Amino acid sequence: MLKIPQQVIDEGKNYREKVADFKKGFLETARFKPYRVSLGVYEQRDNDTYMLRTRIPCGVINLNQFKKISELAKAYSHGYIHFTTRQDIQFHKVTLDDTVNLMEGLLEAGIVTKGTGGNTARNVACSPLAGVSQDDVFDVTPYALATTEYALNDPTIFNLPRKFKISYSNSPADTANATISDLGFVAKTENGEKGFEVYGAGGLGGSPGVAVKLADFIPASEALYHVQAMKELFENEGDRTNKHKARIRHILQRLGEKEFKAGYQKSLQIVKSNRSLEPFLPEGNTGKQSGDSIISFNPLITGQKEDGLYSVYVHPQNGNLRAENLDLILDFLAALDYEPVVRLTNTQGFFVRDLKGSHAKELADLILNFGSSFAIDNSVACAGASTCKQGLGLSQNLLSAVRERFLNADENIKSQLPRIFISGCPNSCGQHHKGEIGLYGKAKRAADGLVPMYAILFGGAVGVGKAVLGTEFGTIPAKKVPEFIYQLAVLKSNSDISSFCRFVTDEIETIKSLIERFSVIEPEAENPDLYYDFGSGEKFSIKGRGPGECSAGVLDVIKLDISNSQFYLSDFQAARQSEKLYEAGLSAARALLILKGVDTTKDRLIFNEFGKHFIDTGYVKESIKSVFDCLLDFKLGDLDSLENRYEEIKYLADRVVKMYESLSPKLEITLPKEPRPENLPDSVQPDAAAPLKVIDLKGVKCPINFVKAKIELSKIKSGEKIAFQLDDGEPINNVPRSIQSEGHETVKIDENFDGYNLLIVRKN
Amino acid sequence: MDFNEQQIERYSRHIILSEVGVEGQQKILNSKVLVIGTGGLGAPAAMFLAAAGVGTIGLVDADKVDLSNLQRQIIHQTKDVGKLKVKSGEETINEMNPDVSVVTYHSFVDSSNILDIFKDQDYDFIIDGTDNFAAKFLINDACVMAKKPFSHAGIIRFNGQLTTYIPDNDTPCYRCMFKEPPPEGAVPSCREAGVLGVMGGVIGTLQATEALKYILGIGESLAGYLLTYNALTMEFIKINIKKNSKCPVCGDEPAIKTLIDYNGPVCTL
Ligand code: HEM
Ligand code: SF4
Ligand SMILES: [Zn+2]
Repeated sequence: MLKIPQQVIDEGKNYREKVADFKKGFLETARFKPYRVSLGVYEQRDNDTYMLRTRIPCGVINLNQFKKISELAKAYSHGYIHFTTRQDIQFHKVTLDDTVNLMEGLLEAGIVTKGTGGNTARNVACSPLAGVSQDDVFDVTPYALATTEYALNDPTIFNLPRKFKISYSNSPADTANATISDLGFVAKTENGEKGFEVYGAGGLGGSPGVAVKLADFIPASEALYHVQAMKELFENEGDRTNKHKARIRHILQRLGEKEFKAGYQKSLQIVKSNRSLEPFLPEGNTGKQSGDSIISFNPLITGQKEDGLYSVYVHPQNGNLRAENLDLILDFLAALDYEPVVRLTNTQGFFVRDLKGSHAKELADLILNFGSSFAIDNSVACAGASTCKQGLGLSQNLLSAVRERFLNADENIKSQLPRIFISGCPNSCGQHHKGEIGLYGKAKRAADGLVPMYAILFGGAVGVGKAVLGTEFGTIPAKKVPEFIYQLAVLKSNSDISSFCRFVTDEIETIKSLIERFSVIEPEAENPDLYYDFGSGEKFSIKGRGPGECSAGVLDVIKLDISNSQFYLSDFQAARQSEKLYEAGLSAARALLILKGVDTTKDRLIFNEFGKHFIDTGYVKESIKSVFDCLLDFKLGDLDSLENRYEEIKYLADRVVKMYESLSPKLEITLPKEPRPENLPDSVQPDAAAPLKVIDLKGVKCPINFVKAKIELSKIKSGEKIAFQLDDGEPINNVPRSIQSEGHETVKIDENFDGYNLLIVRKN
Repeated sequence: MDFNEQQIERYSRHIILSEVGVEGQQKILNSKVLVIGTGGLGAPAAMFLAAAGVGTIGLVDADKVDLSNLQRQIIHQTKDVGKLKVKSGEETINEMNPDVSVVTYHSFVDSSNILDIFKDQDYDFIIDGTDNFAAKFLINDACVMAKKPFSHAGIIRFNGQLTTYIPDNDTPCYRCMFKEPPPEGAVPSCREAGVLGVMGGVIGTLQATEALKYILGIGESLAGYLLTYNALTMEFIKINIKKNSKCPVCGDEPAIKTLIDYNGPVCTL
C-alpha cells in the first residue's frame, strides 16, 4: 500500500478550520475556491451542493476502505457513490459541512483527496488487472504506486500549468489509457528485462490527440526519470496564461513532434545527470489460494493467468452504486475464507480479482440484482449537466434512456453493440473519443429554440499501434439518440458482421443515411419533445451553465490578489503590523503581472516587473519604486517598520484596483497615466556663483579621455557643471556623444580655441 | 577613493560601461570574494575576479598541484607542480594584479571551519568551485545559515551547470533542488568521469560573472534558475526552479540546523 506523506494528511486535517473561516467570512470565496478544488471539493451546478473526489491511488483499494466508503455514503451523500473514469470514487450532492465530515472519515481509512482537482498530477492510472490478466506482461502496479508516492512528495507538483495525467498499462491492449495520456507507460520485456514503451502528450478534451511514442524501451527502473523529465518540460514550456492551451499536448502542437521530442530528451538528460530516482520496489509476491476451474460465458467473468482464479467486473448503472448494493458485495467477500482484491477501473466500475471459479459465478449472479452483463448496459456517461457546471447534455439520463430502449429487446439485438462512451459536452470526461461508439453533448439553435443534441463518433481506440480518436459522423437530437442506437443494433444484426469496427467500415454508407434520417429537427409544434432534455421538465437552455472550476482563470487570479491586498490593508489598520503592509504591497504589485505574462512568487521579481510594466510606463507614480526598496529592506530585516509608508502603499493598492477596473475586453489598461512632474524642485539647481572647474584632457586619447571625464563627473553633484578640454578630431567627435548617452547634458561645445575644444557638461 | 593613472588604464573598459562606471569599479575594488577550491572552476573564476580588481580574494584548497591538474586548472603552471595550490594561486594573482590582496586557507572546508572562514574577511560573495557533493551541500547549508550569497556550479564530462543563491527568502537553495547527496557510487566521482578542460573555463567564468553582477547590483542573476551547458551540442538551457517551502535548510521549518559533514569522494577537478 501507498505511504501518504504527512503534509498531505495534515492538509486534510486543516480543512475543517478553513471551512469554518470561509463560513464566518474570514476567507473570501475567491480564495477558498482554489483551495477546496485542490482538495477535490467541487461545487455542483446547484449552488451550495458539492462533490468530493477521493484519491484511490491507481484504483487500489482494500476491503476495509471500501467498507468505510459505504458507511460514509450512507451518512453524508444520500446513500450512493459514483465510480469515475479515472479509477476514483466520488461522493455527490454533499453539503459543505459534510464535505468536512467526509474528508475526516476518509482520512481515518487512509484515503486522501489532495490533488484530485486543480493543476497537478491527477490519479495515476493503472491497468485494473495488472498482475493477473492473461495478457499481463508484468505487474505494473508497484511502479504506478511509486509514481503516486513520488508525486505526492513533491510540493511543486501542485502548481503545474494544468493537469498532468500519468498512466501505466500492463500490456499492449492498454487498459489504463497510456496511449492517450500526458505520460503513458506500457509494459514490455526485452531480453528478459522488464521495461516500458513510453508515450506522451496525448489527451482528450479540447484539441484532443493520441500520444506520440517517446521511447521504444526503457528499463522499468527508469520510469521516475521520465515522470520528472515530463514534469520539468511541462513547467518550462507549458502555457500558464491560457488554460485552454496549457496541457502538454498543446506544447506538442506548438513545437511540432520533432522539437517536442528533442525537448523531452534534453529534459530527460538533465534529470538523469542530476538525480538518482530508481524506486525501491519490494517484490511482494505472496502466495494465493488455489483455484477451481469453471466454464462460463458471462462476459463479466474473466479468467486470470493463474489456473482456476477469476476476476469479476462490477458495473453499476451510470457508475452510481447504492451503498446497500455495495454492502451486498462486501458481505459476500467477507464471508470467503480468503481475501480477494478489488481494483477500480476507468470505465466507472471495478474488478474483484483472485476469486475461485465457483465464487466468481456466485458474485456474477449477485450483481445481476443491480447490474447487467450486456456491454451496452455497462456504458460510460460523465456526470453531465445535472451536476457539472460545464455540461450541456444530461448525459447520465441519456444513458438511462438508451438502456431503457434495450430493456425488453431481443438478446441478439442487445448484444450487438459495444460499450458507448458519453460526455455531456466536448470536454470528454466520458471519454467519447476513445469509444468504438462515442457521444458528446451539444446545443443547436433551431427556429423554435435551442435543441439538446449529441454528436456521433465511431472508431475510437486505445492500445499500442492502434490508438486513434473517434471520427464524428453527424449530430442527432438527444431525444432521438436511444432509437438511433437501437436501429444501429438492428442494422448490425442484419449485416451478420460480428466485429463492430468491421461493421462501421463496411456499412458506412447505410449508417450515414441512418444518421441523416435521425438528425432532422422538427418544429416545436410537431415534435415538442426535442426541445427538452431527458428527465427535464424545463425547456432546454444553457442557463446555469458556467465556467468550470477545474482551473482558475486569469481574472480570478487577479481578483484574488486584489482582494488579498485590500484584506491586508484593513488588517493593518486594525493591528498596525508592518507585515500586513508588506503583504498588501506585494499582493497589489503581483495582481496585474499575470497580464504581462509574469507568473512568479519571487518578491523581488514581482517588484521589479511591476516597476517595468506599470511605473516605467507611467501608470503608477515613480515614487513607488522607493516604496518597493523599503518593502524589500523590511523583508530582509534591515527596516523595522513600514508604518510611515502606509499612504503610499494604499495609493498603490487603489491604483491597481483602478487599473483592473479599466481593463478593456482585450485586457488592456485604459486608465489615464499619472502626470509626470515637469520641473524638479529648485533645490538641486547649481550655485550660479561657483567657478567652473576645467579639466585638461588635451593629449589624452580615446577612450581614456572619456574614462577620465567620467571619473571627474563622479566627483560632482547632480546639476553641477564641469568643463573638459578636448583635442580636435576623434576626441571632440566622440566624448560629447558618449557623455550624453550616459544621461548628462551638453551645455556647450566651444570651438574657439586653438587646437582644442571646451566641452561644458551638466551632470545628470 | 581616487584611481591612480594605472588603475584608470587598467579598469578603463569597465569604467566606460554605464552599468559599471566609476562607482561600480569602486565597488569591485572594495569587494571580497571567497573562492572555495582552486581547481577547474575556481582557477578561472579567481583569475577573472582578480583581473576585474576584486579587492580581496580568499582561496581555500588543501591539495598540492599535480601534473594532471594542468589540463584545466589554468591558475597553476608547470613550474608549480608539487606546490600548495593556494600558494601557486596566490602567486599567479599577485603577478596579474597588485590591487588584489589574496588570503589563503590551506585546508578542506568542513563543518568546523567553514563559518570561521566566511567570517575571517566577512566575504561578500562565495564561489563554490568544489567537485564533490559533500562540500557542495556543506557550502550551501553554510551560506543559507550565514546568509551569504553564493554561486553553485558543477562540471562533468561535457556538461556543466550553475545557479546562484541570494539570501532574500525567495531564492531556492541547492537543497531545494537536490535534497541530499546521492548515494555513494550513484554518481561518478570526477576521477572516474573525466572532464573536457574548457568546461571549468566556461562555467567558472560564468560564476565570476555572477559574482561581479552581484557586487555591482546589475542585471538578473541566476537566482531561481539552473543554467545548464552541454558542450557537445552547444546548448545552454535555463530552467526555472521554485523555492521549496519544505526545504530542510531554507524552508519554513528547517530540519537541518547544524552543518553536516558527508563523506563524499574528495578530489579536485
Ligand atoms: C466543471 C468542470 C469539470 C468537472 C466537474 C469535471 C468532472 C469530471 C469527472 C466527474 C470525471 C470522471 C468522469 C466520471 O466518471 O463521471 C472527469 C473525467 C475527465 N475529465 Fe473532467 N470535469 C470538468 C472539466 C473538464 C475539462 C474542462 C476537461 C478537458 C478540457 C475535462 C476532461 C476530463 C477527461 C478527459 C476525463 C476522463 C478521465 C481520464 O482522464 O481518464 N474535464 N471529469
Ligand atoms: S464532459 Fe462536460 S458535461 Fe461531462 S463532466 Fe466533463 S465537463 Fe461536465
Ligand atoms: Zn532550500
